[in-house]
Amino acid sequence: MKDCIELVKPYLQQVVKPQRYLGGELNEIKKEWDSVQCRFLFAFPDVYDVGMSHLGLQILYEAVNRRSGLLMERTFSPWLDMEAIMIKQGIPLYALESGRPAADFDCIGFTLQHEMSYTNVLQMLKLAGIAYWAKDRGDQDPLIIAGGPCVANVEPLAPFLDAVVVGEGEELLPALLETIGRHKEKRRGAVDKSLLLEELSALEGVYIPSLKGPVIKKARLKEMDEAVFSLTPLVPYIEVVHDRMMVEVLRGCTRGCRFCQAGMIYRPVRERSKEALLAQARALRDNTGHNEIALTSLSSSDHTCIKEIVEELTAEFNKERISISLPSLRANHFSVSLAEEIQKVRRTGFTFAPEAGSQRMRDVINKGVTEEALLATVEKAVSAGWQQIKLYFMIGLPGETMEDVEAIAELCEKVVQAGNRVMKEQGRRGGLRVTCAVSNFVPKAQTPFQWVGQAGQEELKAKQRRLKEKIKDRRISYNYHDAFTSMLEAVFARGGRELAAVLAAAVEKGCHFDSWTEELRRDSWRQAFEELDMDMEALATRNFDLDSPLPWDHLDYGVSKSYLLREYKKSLEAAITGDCRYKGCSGCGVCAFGIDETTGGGSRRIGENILHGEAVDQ
Amino acid sequence: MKIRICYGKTDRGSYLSHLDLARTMERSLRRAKAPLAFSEGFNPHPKLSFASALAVGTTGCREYLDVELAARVNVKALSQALEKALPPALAFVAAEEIRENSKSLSAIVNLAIYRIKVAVKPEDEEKVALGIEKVLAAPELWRKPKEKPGKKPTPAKEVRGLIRQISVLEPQPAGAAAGNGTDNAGGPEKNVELEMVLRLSAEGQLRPQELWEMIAAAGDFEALTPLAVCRRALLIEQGGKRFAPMEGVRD
Repeated sequence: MKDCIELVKPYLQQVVKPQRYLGGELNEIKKEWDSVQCRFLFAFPDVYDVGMSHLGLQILYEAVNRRSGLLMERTFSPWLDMEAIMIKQGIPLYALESGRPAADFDCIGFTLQHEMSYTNVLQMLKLAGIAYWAKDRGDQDPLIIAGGPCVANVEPLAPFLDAVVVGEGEELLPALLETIGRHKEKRRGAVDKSLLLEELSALEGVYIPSLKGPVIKKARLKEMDEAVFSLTPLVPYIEVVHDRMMVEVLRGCTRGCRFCQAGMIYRPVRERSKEALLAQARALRDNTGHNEIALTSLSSSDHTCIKEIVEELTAEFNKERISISLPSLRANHFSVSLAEEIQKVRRTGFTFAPEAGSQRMRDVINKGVTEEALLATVEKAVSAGWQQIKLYFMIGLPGETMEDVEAIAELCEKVVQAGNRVMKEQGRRGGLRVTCAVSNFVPKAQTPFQWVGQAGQEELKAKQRRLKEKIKDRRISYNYHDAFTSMLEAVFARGGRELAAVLAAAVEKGCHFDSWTEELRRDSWRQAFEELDMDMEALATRNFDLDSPLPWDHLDYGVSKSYLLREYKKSLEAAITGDCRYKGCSGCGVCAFGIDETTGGGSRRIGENILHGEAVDQ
Repeated sequence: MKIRICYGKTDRGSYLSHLDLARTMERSLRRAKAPLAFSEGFNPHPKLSFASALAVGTTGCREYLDVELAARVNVKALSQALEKALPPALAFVAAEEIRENSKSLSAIVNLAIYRIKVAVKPEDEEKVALGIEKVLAAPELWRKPKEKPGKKPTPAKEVRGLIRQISVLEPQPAGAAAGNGTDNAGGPEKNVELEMVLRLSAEGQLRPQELWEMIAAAGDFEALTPLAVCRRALLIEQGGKRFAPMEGVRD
């Protein structure tokens, strides 16, 4: 057996963060290679420290490895310093558990978290010595599969993939791998790929790009409390991006923000019960030793029992100096009281996402927050002691005017003034510091804005400049995203299969790690599009006819196209749609067989949230 | 209550930076349910103090750490829990209670014993002994100034006073030299193991790799990259005698 970890060891002094390449962390699972029928390699198309922050990896590691016939190992993109050494020394991409080359595995699965990681997928195949195109791979090669949110429109990668997991993978992925295992067992270890793909296509939620077939319904979990969860997650030695324990308090969100893909594809809302969450949190504490726990979800303060969960967790964990973080808070009083509760150990800044500056624009995108509610929340947060507020906005939203953009600067100024008024009243020195973080809107598949083109490069840059001119106050720090990167994202987010050739060409020109701004090779990308006679900006900005077929029509995430269209039309009139958990069904279609949303409180105790949150919120 | 822990850094652990080590220790102590004492303020930290940072790539047999606890514990029970809680990078050796007013490890530990395994070309073998002899005979030795992009240059330093002893251990059969990262074309190399006794002082430390390069320069041969470096012991030298930082741990 080739152990590539031994091969890279002599070079570890020459690279940054050598720990990325060694494995051997606490709670690592090493299974006997010959004891299982199917060996799976989870491939994260970014560096170790990014990939190891991903909760999905930990869940799948447990879900796959708990099955006796399967094993799962991990691999990540080597950073450029190590990549150069591996290429020069002929060391292939390898797994961190066994050190085996990636090509030894039966199946390699990539997680697609964002469009800018697509080139890393191909680069990893290249480092593994595996052909990019599915048609160029034979029965001997590992099956290449993918999953994750970007599957919502996976067409730009479809020609590289043998199979795709649509929807939630914790049950479907092990089932898929066991199907591979059984297939091999029947054939004494050999694979008949075309037959295997037919077998896999019988599983609900598996999409086989090379087969023409019916619409694929996403896989989804019924009950969060029964979902697989790792109580013994891997604990890295180096500091990773999110270096903490994570419990998933709920999945899905029904707020209905029209730009938000996650809010559409992860429906319905399913809560984990308070008892299950507390039990998980305690087990994680005992098994990891982390000093921070995050309650993650798309909108954690929407859990019907969040207050009790936070109170009980704080009472127990604060004694041990374990801090609690709630990464996604809505701008309301309830959030401030929650934040006050949790930030007794370590205090960080307060972050909100109003997303747009003017009320009209917030209604267009259905972001249910008013200026009054935001300012009242800021005042409460400042009076509770916070001195730093971060606000997230988007520009280039559908129907946005320059006045709407200027409203962002005006809103930030109002926030500063509201905060300073409170501080003055309390006789505190210094002033409120506000960060205004502005990203460029990228229309996504499976959302009400899927038909809309992105704003052009000149428009985005002009809007960025205008904001820079408008924000004069030195207490506000303004930062914005690179417009070129957003354009590339937009091209792939709504693109078709024809883009696969562009990806392959770009990787051949050296493009990868595109989400690392200093590594983005703009000229190479431009050349790749030009050579294939494609116009990058035209692809990003194109509008789709409302009645024409879309590249992702064959993937069904449960939310109907007629609902998305209805929501789009309402956006044109700046009409809002309420959260169906509180304001009645909006007819998205996900509950076609009756309401199957589950709450974690045993009973539907949503009243409290309405009292504390909704009254000011909407 | 204060406890002193003696631990080892394994081959895997040799790649931990000092910050990684501190983080890993804190987590291990938490898993072992040690009642850690914390600093005050908005960003509380456990009160850990290490004897001496170990360079990345160097293993350690007996490294030391003092931990302040907020409550009394049974040291034996905590030792067992910690032994189980340590990840593959670290190995538990021993733990014992120390006086509240004990001086910090970094203030008392002043001697380190290293073993360094190096490959030597056959024609250079005799030059090693000569190099050592010259280094030990030199009245003073100057470490070259170092310049790293973006960092303040380290000025040249006289380091002869930091060297206590250098000896060649029993020679080992060759063959393990493969894959040491340098392209050593030519004849089969022989592995030589050196023991270096070096003084640790507040003004500076000498890394065994640096000393190896000085020996090579003095003996006029090429210093190949060391195959392995291990810190065997950290000691307290006082009045001509050497002690281990812990009573319970003796060589």
